Amino acid sequence: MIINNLNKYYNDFHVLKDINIEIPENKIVGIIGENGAGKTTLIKCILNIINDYTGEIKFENESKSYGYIPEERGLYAKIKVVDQLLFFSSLNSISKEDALNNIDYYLKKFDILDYKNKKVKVLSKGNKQKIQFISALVHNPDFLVLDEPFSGIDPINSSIFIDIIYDEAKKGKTIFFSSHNLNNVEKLCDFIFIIKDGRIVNSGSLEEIKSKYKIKNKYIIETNKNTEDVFIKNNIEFQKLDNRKYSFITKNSKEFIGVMNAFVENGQEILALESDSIDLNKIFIKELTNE
Amino acid sequence: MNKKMIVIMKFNFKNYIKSAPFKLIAFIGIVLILGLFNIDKITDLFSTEHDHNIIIISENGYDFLSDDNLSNLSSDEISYKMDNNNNNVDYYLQEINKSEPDYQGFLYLNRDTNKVELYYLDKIDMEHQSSIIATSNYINEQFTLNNLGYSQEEITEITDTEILIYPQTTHTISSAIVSMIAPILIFFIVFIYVTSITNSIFEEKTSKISETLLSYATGMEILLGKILGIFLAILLHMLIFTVTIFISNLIFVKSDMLVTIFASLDIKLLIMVISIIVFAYLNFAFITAAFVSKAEDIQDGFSTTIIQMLLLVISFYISFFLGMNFSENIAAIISYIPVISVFSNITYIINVDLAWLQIIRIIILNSIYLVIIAITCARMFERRIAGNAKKRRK
Repeated sequence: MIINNLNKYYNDFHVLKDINIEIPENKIVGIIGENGAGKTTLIKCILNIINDYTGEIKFENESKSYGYIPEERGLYAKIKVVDQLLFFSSLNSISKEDALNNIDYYLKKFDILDYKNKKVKVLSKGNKQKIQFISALVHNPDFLVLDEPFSGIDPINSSIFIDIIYDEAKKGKTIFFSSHNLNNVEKLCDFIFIIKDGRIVNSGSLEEIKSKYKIKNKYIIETNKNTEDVFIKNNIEFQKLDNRKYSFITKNSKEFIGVMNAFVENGQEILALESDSIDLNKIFIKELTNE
Repeated sequence: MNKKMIVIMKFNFKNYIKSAPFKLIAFIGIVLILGLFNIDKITDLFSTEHDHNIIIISENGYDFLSDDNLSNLSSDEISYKMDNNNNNVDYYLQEINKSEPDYQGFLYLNRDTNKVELYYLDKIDMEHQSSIIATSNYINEQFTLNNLGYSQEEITEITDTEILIYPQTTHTISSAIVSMIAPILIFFIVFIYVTSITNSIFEEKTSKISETLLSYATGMEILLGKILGIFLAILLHMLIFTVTIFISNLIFVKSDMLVTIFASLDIKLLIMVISIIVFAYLNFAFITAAFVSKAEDIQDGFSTTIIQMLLLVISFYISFFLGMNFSENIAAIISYIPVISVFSNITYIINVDLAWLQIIRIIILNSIYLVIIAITCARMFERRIAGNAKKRRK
């Protein structure tokens, strides 16, 4: 799917500004951003729930079917689970027999088969979210769009959701989801978009995004005794992280070798040495707060 | 109709017929219909006076007072018997005024005055009173002619003449029936069924189900599916009530009211009323959908339905005042106003024998109005159901 110059206004408020993105097929793609950044609006534009935008949203294959989990869960309270799932599936051209098979499969997978003939109103919030998830999957869509799928979910169910997303991705589906749970985004996504104030400020694979923030020649070392003297003597910029744990920056590899030799000459044992990594949380904060 | 619209129509239809309001309306409708068409039987069940005994006092015997003849004159509720005790009138008056008399009236064939005197308790119901009086008139005829010297054969020839009766249906009868039933039916349909559309849209909007639906179907498909689904439920109710009427007629007492209605039904009236009911439902359904789709939460509930309620009340009152002071010209002018003319068109056709051309004109005009209202309201619905704000002003 390709989005070109997408702009959307709510009255005079410019919600989405010149969005240009490409969602690759058969990948898990995540979009992260602070509250009010425009994630849900973007998702609604993609699904044509909102259609008064300017710009272009193009699908390579127009006959793709969608599965959608909205940010705010919505199910008919007084209708049975199975009837509801059949209704949503029948809007997507799947036979009743296939739909029933899929319903049983997913209800079993989520361990809520007992609720098949119950009305939705008797379900707990977590189980309702599972039903909502199943409603997006039951017709075997090509393109899954999930708006905050992990919102309000406990860790155990979150893990089930992650497994299912992986399974669906293995079936060749394209999955596009938004989330504030950056650990899950980091775990799942092949590709990530970062949105801020309606604009895409960063995008790429996780490695690509991390590499932009990675500070070269920055290391973390743990030794068997205090090392400040070595750093000071060799004019090395350092920061004490913990007792006998330091981060330091060298200008080049020659300087790095010099520091290592200095440790050895000082009789210090290097217990651990690694280059400094940055997680998505830190990138998110940096990106959105201009730190 | 496309496939998704049919899916949504079936879904709304099935859910509505499973709902308590549908079952309650069906139950109440069946009870009312059975009650209405069998009102006579029902009132008889509660009547404390089942049998009325009328005795006949005559000094002389007459052929027309034979046991066989009196048995023919009697019915399940009224029996006529001879009293051969020949007491005076005062005695019998005392008897019928007892707290629990053996008979409720008596006929005294007065030989002196050659008149039949009927004495009866006025607590006998009107229907039976009429029957007793009619029988008394017959006995009076027989008695008088007998006293004038006619033989029984001659009396039979004189009195046993039948009038040939040919009831003519008139516009008045069907108009009276339509003027009673049609406005009630329209109110009923708009309040009950359009309200269910209101509730359905309200639930979908406030529970955010509409967002999921809109990802799979367009706003137009959702709206038309919903309106048609509820329309199917209306037809199902009408079918249930029609079947009830016919079962009632077959199994219970044959209803005079039903015979009157069908005998007096005018095809023009029938076409007009059915089309007005359909237009009323569809117009109010679309208007309601357009406004209710704006609701964001439960506080918006009343404010989003006020316009269509006002339209309904205004149209009713216009037809009410038109009915009180009917003017063909004003009725004709009002028939050009969309939506408001719903009830007034019924008043119009009741009071004026419209030509087919005028009826076709009204139907075509309302069809055009319906299309315009449907398109306008559907667009409003599509924008509002997704929670879209107004389009950006350039």
